[in-house]
Amino acid sequence: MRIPPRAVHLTMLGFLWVVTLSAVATLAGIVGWVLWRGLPSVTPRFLFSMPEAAGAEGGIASVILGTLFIIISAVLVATPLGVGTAIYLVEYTRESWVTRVIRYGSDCLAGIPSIIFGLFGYVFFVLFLGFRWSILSGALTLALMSLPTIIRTSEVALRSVPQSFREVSYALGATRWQMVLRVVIPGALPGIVTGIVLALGRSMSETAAVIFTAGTVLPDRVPSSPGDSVRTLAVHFYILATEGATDAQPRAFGTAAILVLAILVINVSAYTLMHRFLARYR
Amino acid sequence: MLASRDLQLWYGDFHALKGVSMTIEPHSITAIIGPSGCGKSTMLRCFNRMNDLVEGCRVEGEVLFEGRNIYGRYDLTELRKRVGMVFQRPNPFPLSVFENVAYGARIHGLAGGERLRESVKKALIATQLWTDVADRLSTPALDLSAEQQQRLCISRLLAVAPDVLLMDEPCSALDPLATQHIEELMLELKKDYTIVIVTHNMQQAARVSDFTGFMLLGELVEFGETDTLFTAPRDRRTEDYITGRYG
Repeated sequence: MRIPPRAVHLTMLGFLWVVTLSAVATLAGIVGWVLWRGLPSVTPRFLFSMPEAAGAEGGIASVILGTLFIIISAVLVATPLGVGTAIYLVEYTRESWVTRVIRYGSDCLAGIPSIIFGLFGYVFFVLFLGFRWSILSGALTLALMSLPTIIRTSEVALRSVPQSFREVSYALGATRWQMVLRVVIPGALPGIVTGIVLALGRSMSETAAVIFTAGTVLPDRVPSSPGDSVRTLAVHFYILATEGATDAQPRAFGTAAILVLAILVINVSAYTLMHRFLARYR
Repeated sequence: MLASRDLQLWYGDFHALKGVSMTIEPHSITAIIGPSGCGKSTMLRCFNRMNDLVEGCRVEGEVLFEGRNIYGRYDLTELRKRVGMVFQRPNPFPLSVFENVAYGARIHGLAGGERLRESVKKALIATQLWTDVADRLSTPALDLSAEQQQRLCISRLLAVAPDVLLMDEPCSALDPLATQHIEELMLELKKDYTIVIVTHNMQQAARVSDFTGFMLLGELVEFGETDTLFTAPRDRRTEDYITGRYG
């Protein structure tokens, strides 16, 4: 007996609805739960004062600033390298074994577990180069981790710029670099920015690589040099939740709430920025 | 002004141009006609070496611009600045009207500030677009109609101050009225520029051009004054094509 197509259609529709709903519900559930548990501890004092008693008392100001310093430095290092690589791959070379090696290498880099990056960063930056546990070591390690994301998203963005724009640009007598700078990069900018923001969010939530390279010392003052050791939000949450006393739990959740909110804010602002940018050109 | 001498071109194994020789007279409009795939666009793109961008493309023979072979040692940006191109589809950049026209001028450092505004205005006046867009120079170019976009692309080219305009089926994406307007514009531009146009539209070639070349399967079958070519073709194949028995 043949099942009526309409029945199949309705069943599948229902099934897809359930699948989609459960995906969205899981996300909303996790974020909601963290915020529900964490937000009550988030007070101005929590945000703007230094931690005391190993984080059980006081606030997380130095942790927030340490996180910002480390992820911003990481992105500042990774962006020129990643975008530069992507521009080379897309605009300056034709497909050959060289490009395949570069792309394969970058894909492999993306597949390496973060703890291996941490180990490498520890051995290379912390010990060999003598940067110790510091913002510098942590940022460089996170930069390496962000490279594949930035290269890949930039590459896709650059390739999505219509070939006809490149032709026109050449036909008007532009050099390759003028074409890249004035036509290709502006066209690819939303995609490139999205990649950078993704990398920012990932760096922010990274723990293993950061513990190895930036340390876990809880600073009781604002970090003032790239050589200072810091503890990032994600690491702070991990340590409070696993090692802290029971009375540190509200602060652990407060930290998690800030982390979630920060990533949310980064993503939403990047999204609106991108939309505004696209709306300008439609 | 421009001339090709026994020009041969291959895309990989495909022999796309087979010994084409033609001479383009200054301040004239030369049309290249022929069925799809005959090599007329390829021929046009040899004049500003746009075929260089195609992978596996190989050229033999010469193209002379003011007596110098552009396939020898030749500064390509200089060549393309002087031999500009208008494409089949209007392809303004996703920038404002003003920035589109200013693009070429900026690249070549021709002007800045007030001088840049002057050259943009001049280029827009030359294509009779100025009255339409004078009060919306900062709006996106993509908001313009197809015809206006094509005029804008021509303005963008004129702002670079070229000597030769290569037009690759510039009207094929436009409606008949817009086509007529662009043709009138071409006749106007002829006074100051040398124009080579590729078209699949024989009536268009007959209407606007002074000289016409008929191409077939990579060969230039016949080249001559437009009136002669259309009324008394020397080659049987040309006659077949213009009377509609071909392609």
